[in-house]
Amino acid sequence: MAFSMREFRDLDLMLKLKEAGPIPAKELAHELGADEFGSHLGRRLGWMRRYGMLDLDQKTRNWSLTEGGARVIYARKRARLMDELEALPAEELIEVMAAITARYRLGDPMTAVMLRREFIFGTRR
Amino acid sequence: MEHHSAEALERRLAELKDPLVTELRTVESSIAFHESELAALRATRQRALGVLAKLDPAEYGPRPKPKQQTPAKQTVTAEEISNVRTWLEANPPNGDGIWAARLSDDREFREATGIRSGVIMQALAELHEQSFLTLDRMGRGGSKIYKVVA
Repeated sequence: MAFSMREFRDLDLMLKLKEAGPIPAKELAHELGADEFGSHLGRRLGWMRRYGMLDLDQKTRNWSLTEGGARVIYARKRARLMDELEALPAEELIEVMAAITARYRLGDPMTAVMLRREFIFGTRR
Repeated sequence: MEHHSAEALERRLAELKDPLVTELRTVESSIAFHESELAALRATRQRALGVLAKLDPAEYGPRPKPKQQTPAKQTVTAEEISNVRTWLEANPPNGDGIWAARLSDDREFREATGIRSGVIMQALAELHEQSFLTLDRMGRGGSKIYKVVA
């Protein structure tokens, strides 16, 4: 299993970590349905750590969410915003996109990376 | 009453047979001749087509095989996605998660959502992109197992 961005979004892995608590990569791979543990997931987690979404405890080798990562997960509960967005006319989404790209440029680096990776995931077709 | 001797009968049969044998040999000889003519004509046609294919490939070149008509890929509609979401909200799945094959087998689900079985996977993928579902794990054989985001 490749654990690529085409399958698992960053948010999927973060939600799994939130549910499972701090765990080693091998256990996380098992939780995600992999029979064997290769290096793919480790590399993916490594990049997510570099982007500030995850932490690795060097002693226990457990992976967990950073504070920033946890904030993203809990922000997902404000789903009413999604309903409002869905109700917007398509033309007004241009303005929304402009606001998002402004935040991408000016916001914190972790959120910027997550926005970019969400865009890649959502427009791959 | 006229009586036929055995000799007379044999003679009569031979008289009937001989012209037929001659006729058969003539026909066989004619077939052999025409077959050889046909083979020669076919060889000539093949040579002519080979030269023409080089001179005028558009007309005499090899023709591409007609493409097999494949049925147009079904695309999930916004209404089907919305129906699936509404159904999943009203019928929260158990801890096993949600996957296309299981929903496809669920008659109640299909009747309530009116979704075509060929697009259930697409609907789930769309709800995943909308963050309504999270990809919880991969099943054996690569099936995607989702959960509703709490």
